[in-house]
Amino acid sequence: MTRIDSLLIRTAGWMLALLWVLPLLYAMWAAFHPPAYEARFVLNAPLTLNNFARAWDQAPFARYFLNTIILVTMILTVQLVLCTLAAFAFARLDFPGKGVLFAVVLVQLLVVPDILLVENYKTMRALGLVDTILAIGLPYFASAFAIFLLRQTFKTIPRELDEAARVEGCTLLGLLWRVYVPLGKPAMLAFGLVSVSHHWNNFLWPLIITNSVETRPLTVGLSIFATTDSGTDWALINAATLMTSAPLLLGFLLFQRQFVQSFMRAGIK
Amino acid sequence: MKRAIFRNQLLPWLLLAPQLVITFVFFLWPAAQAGWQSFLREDAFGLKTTFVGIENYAALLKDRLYVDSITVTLVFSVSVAVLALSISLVLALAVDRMLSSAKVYTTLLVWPYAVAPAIAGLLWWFIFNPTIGLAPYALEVLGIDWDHSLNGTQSMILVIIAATWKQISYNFLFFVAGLQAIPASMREAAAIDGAGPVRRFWTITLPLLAPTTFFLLVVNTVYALFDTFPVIDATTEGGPAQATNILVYKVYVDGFLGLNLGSSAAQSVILMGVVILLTVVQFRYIERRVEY
Amino acid sequence: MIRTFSLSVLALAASFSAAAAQTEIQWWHAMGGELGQKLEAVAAAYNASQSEFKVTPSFKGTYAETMTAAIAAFRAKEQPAIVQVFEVGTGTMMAAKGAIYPVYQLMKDAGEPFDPAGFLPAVVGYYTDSEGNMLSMPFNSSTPIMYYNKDVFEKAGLDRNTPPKTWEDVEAFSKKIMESGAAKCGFTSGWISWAQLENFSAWHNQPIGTMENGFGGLATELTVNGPVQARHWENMARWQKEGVFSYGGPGGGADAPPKFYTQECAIYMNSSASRAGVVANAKEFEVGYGMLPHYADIAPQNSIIGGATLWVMTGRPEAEYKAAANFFTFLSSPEVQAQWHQDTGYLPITQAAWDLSKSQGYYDANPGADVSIQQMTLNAPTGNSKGLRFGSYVQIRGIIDEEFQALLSGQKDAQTALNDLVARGNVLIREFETANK
Repeated sequence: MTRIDSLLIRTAGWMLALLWVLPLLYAMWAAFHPPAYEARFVLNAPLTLNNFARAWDQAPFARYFLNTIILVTMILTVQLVLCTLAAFAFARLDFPGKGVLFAVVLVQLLVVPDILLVENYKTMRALGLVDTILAIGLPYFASAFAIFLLRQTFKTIPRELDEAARVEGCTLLGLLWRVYVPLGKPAMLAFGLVSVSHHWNNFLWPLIITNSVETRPLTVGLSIFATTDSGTDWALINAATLMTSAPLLLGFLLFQRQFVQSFMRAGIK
Repeated sequence: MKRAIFRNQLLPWLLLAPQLVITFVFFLWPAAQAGWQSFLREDAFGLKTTFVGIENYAALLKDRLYVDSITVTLVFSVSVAVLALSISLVLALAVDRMLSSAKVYTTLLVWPYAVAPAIAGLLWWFIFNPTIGLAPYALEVLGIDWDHSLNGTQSMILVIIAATWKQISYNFLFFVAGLQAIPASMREAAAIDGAGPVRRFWTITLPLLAPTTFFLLVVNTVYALFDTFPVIDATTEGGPAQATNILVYKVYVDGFLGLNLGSSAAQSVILMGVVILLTVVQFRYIERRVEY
Repeated sequence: MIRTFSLSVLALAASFSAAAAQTEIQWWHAMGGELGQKLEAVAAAYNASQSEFKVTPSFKGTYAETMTAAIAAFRAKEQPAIVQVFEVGTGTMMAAKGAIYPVYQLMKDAGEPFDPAGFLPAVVGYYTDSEGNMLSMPFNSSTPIMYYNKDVFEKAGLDRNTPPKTWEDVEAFSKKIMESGAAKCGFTSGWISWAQLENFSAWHNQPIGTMENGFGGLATELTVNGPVQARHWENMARWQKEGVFSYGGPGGGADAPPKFYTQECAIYMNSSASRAGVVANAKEFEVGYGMLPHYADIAPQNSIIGGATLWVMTGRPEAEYKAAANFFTFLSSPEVQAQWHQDTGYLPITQAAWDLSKSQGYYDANPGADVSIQQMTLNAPTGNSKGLRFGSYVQIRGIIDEEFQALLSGQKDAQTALNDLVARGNVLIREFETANK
């Protein structure tokens, strides 16, 4: 690899990355300084945690955190199990109607989200689930994204590997567990990240289907800051945003170590 | 099945059943209801319902503004999908070159994904605010007068940047995951053969990334068409004078804000039709070129 | 001793049986942040004031989200007893006869004391039917007023205590301010549709639509393309070009407040409920207050309100309506109203609450807080200034913004923009009429 080429890619990469993170840097600036400095960037601006304290006091955030964690854990666990099974069926088994069924699953991606609200509300009412955490998660237990992604990944796994496992007398579950899951792990990790952050941030459906503090996730708590008749308090909004996405960012960091490490191993081998 | 071990005919169905049940109950059923709704005229509470045939569709196609909104959607979606895919690919390739600092770098890039879409929109609104924003201030130095509340082109640029920003992190992740799956030995072999980096990219990396790229192409198209309305809502509200009024935002405004159920159902059906068509085309013509 | 004891046992037993039979009702609302906390305090005060009923407030997002949630819930038969709906949703709610329980009917059926004459006509008029019956309970109402920067006025050589009275003044003052370099622009405005078209029309006693602005029935049509409105919009376009006016964006006009707070613009028109926000943000200058400007040749009439009211939905058990009616009696009592008005900046809905606030010295301590009430009650409302009631009005507000943008960017002149606005709006009104007939 030539030096100039490498240097170019690196510089471009870093510049873009910095540009990309600029809005978040701004959010941090506003959150940690008094409101008077929200658009004034001077180095000696006093630091404060007051915005966070104010934000925390405006809603039962501890409970919301708990609800959100329950929600995303529940969704991700069920998704990974169900979607691995389904993706395996689509990638490796032959059965009549496979193409049509795959199309049916994909249609899930193609439904305009707006039309789901009223009908799904009725369904949840019929199931007696209105105002429960389960009701927020249930429609998302099936994920066309995950199936599609895992199918793509599973298809790249050499057939020789499962032939060998089958010769050794592996059961289906054994085969999945010993061959497909380990090889699909990077994709699953990436999907996990996307799923968790999507449901961590999902707003409209949880807002509509829940009424009480005991069931509502963080985003609904966060939305009380975005609706105000009397001007927007930037310091407060940014503090609340950082506060509610902090666990997610922390999770990202932990996840990243895994992600990058396995990446580096792949580079070395 | 060539082998005797998984001959059970029920097996595929067992594996798929939970998935299919949920898809039917929570996605296909509402979609079918919307299809039915698109032939009705109904008040918001569902107290008075009249069957009107294709009247809702006819009204839409006669509406010049709806037709304009299709063009706007096209410009917006293609820009977002192309920009989000190409930029994130470059970024992912860059990670490939800097293993020592890959961690910091990946962190920077993945962060935007942790921010809720509506808040991300607000953030961009603030940055581009003509009075207090940073961007107009910087642009003024370059001699550009920024006012997206009246300038349609600037408004479009703003929503494209905001929507792309969010999606890049997502694509980046999957590209890195995809790159990771390419055995280093293959690229090393090519390097020994004397292939330059550009040729290596076109002959080795890109073909091997094809399954990931295809997946992302489908997902990005859907994202640009469906999931971008919080960004538009928080920044331009479709304006000025409909310059950024994409189809899905119009569905939101007419159905959710305007409670005009028949028309918004018809718009949803048209939009779904377009996306299904696009996806079929993508599967038919592009997936064929993908080697697994 | 024994007597006291048995009495307290009785009281205890009574409170127990009351607790057992307590009726709980849901109240869905759209008040976030501090306003939400004030609202919860009202509910908590009510719950503490008696033990028979319990009101449980639940935040349901923005006004639009709250309304959608209520509709989804109604269709699934899970609706709350009380829901807060913004003023532009009034047409939709009124047309949904089977879904709403009119407040006057509710109060009568529940036998609660209810005197319609005690309410401020300028506020409740917006929510009464053509026979004068109150359909929903006004909760948070406001009206656009004028804020100005006293320090900038003084710097420009103007009297710091004299706000512009007419649009001619606004132009002259603005030019003086700009020429003297005291500020970059003259004025900005939030809520173009609400302030610079709807209220502008009412304030100049011009019809917004036929049939008393839609109060008379669904067959109404928009008529905001009259000569007075066209004159104003033509001026707005010219002022924008000259820098006298600076556009603050569509909808609520999110870009407008920063222009005033950073002293870029000297004058600012927005909701009277923004007062607390303005005072909190205007740290480096003193704020003055004034009524909306009018053109010198037309006498001002009265301004109209915005905000939201509480609607009662049908299909709940009988006991819940007793609770709702009882809660409304509590809510409209002078003490509760005066407190809410003073805490939030929203208008009081009864004469008694206004009088109470006066006698408490609230307006002496908070200059400018009563400009809104004086402006609303300046004259008895006419058919043009009672309010407005059109179907699909949320979308029509969007159209108003679009046409205003087309005007400012020079694509259309004022008369064309207003004509197009009326034509497009009337299409929606006809659709609404056919869907609700």
